[in-house]
Amino acid sequence: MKRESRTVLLSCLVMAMVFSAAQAHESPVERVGRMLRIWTDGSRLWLRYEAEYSERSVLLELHAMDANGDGAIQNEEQTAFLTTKANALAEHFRVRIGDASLTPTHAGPVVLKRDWRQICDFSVPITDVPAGTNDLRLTIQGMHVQPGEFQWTIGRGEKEDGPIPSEGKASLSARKAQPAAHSANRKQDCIELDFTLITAPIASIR
Amino acid sequence: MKGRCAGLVFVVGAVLTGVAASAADHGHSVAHADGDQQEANRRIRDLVHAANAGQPTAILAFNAAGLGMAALWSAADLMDLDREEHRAPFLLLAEHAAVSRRYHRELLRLYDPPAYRAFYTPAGTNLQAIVGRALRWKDPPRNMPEAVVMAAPESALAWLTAQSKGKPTNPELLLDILEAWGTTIGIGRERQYIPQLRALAAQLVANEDIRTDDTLLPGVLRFARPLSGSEAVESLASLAAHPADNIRIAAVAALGLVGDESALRALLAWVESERTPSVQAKIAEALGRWPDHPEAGAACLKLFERATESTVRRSVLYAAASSKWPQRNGLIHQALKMKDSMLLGAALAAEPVPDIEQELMRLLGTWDGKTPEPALIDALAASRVQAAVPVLVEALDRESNIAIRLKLIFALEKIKGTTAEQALLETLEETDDELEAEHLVSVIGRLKLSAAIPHLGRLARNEAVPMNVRVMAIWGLGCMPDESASAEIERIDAAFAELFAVTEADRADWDKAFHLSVAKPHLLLARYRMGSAAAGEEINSMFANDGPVVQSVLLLGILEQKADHPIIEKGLKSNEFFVLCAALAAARESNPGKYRPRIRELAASPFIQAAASVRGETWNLHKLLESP
Repeated sequence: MKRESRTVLLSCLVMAMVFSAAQAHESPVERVGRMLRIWTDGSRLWLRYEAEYSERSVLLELHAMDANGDGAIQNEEQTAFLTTKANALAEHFRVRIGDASLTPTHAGPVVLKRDWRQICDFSVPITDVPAGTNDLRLTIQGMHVQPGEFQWTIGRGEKEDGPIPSEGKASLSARKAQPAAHSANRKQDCIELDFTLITAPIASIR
Repeated sequence: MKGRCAGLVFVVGAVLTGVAASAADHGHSVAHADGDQQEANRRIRDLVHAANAGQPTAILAFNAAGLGMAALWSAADLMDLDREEHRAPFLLLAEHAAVSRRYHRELLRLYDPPAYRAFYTPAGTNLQAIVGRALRWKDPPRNMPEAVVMAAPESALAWLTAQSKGKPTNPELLLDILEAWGTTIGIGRERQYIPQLRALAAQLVANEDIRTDDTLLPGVLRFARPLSGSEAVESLASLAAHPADNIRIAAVAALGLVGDESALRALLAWVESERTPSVQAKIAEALGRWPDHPEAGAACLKLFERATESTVRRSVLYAAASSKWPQRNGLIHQALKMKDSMLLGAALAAEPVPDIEQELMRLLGTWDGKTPEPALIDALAASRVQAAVPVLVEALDRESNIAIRLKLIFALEKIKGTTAEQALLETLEETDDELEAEHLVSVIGRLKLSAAIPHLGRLARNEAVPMNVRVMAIWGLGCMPDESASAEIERIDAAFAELFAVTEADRADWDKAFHLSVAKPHLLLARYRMGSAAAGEEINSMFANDGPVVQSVLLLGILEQKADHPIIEKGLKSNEFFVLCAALAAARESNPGKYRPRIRELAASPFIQAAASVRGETWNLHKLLESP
């Protein structure tokens, strides 16, 4: 059984017991899951955050999006809502490369997919990173605010990821990572993922 | 790939060849809809190729359908429906790709534009017409009805409407399409055409050619049942004279679902003349939908008295069980005296009945030292029969089945009294069953049995006790209006970090981690119940900074205390379904007048209404949105 499901069952059990009058035998968490993809293109470090929702939770979001309450979503309403959401999400990411602390920013539109996924890219420049092997730590905070199964992987998740070219100029590999799935425990509010970032001197690329 | 596998070294997934790409270069940003359409085109070309070569196509069609309506648009362009070998894969694809039609229009527009175009734009009418051509094919593939209902509803509706206006020209296909659409409605997948289908159902039921066709009429009634409104009552009521039992049963069920005054009048007239027990039972069941109408109760009482079969009486009793009919209590007394085992469960399912104690004790006596049946335990509890307590306590002493034990515990809770409460306290001291302990603590909390305070304190502080029981003990202490309970809660609060410290092992134990996460909210709720203003502030702050799990726990606690706390207002703005429902329930319970405007505003939102119509939730959001 997925951990998410177990957590859900437990939530239900406890609340059903405490508040017998409340309809508590269903999950208080409507999110299906999240996936974080991380990669570098040599000049920037990219994060792609994919959150999958339930039909009901995206309907409730539409209600929040519908600022003028006309029952339809205008482009401006959609952009305003999703940009605010992406910017708030960006606040949860911290990147540390060597001694430098960096904050990724939201890049490009939030893409909505037909399986109720919302996909959002974040990036941070790495051109100032010294050539060679660097320790990179990605910290993701606010895990309790965005509950649900969490997974991560290296690469964009697109076909062109392909195998590693033999003469790569920058590369990223996982070095050490805490368990990526998380509990609702407040004290376990962040996840830290450690990578090795190898960059080549600019000159060698040119 | 699960990132939780600590220490795993992943192969480098992304290595790019230059540093020249700028932040503005979205060459790496998310793939857009064009990519999906290209993939759909590719899969459909593979499908066409396989169909042309006489190869199996079903798996390819299913795979293409996985891309949704983009694949159907592509198929409409690339497949040749004049070719027999293209038809089956096309309809298979259409049926499965078009399941998205069930979603709200705006959701499709934002999240699934190809589906929106297909079902809500003029271009989509053309696509639907292409799929709808299947209605005129000779020997179409077997899934044609399902495919046109899902992918070409406009064509299917036009065809059905034509059939409803005279003698159906293709009765077999009519039944197949009605069945397919009826199933779609039954499982809650029809959002778009309910008003049109309602009008169609009324027209079909009123069609004389259909009413005299014994093959067509049952199928039409099955389709019409969930759709019938006042306009169908006359047609349905006139079927009282139909010779076939199954037709009359279907018509009665449809009248029950109509649920208005005209349907009630029709059923009251019908019950007088109906002689077949199976139909009588159905009428009684239908009359149960008017629990506030004494005339429905009077008709049921008469039916009970003249019924020749237990099945009819049982239906009457179930209908009466939760009604407010003045005849209800008399019916139940009469049933208990009949000594008919078939009626016992139905009679005992009723809410408390006055003066039933003696009858219940007589029944209890028939169990002769054995644990009584669950329905009788429930009835004794509902009627709060004090005389039964010693028997129930004895049963609790010897019973080992946890489900029955819990039923006995809850019965003792309902009946109350010194003997019952002493038995509950002793059972808590003795039990070594985690589930039973958790329930007992909650029962003792609800009963506010202050004699349990020291024991609850020990449970809450003992790290060897399962975390769920410790959390429940905090909740139980919070229920006690007693200074020693307050003192206990304050002691736990002062030592909370130590008593509920999170270790690495806890993090790996998801059960424990979850309960740990809700321990603090429960402690705050306990302090708040005891009058701590500081706890009220902390609840506010915790709600603002935490996620839906903790927010739900806090709102459910506030709901249970019937308190009007600021987090209700915040919860009413939440995008989290569970949080919103809990906030609505708390708002209705604590201060309905204050929250009425906000609740009305939510109820007016088409998106909230659409969320309420998504199946599979037990909150009954529609009910919560009714004006308080």
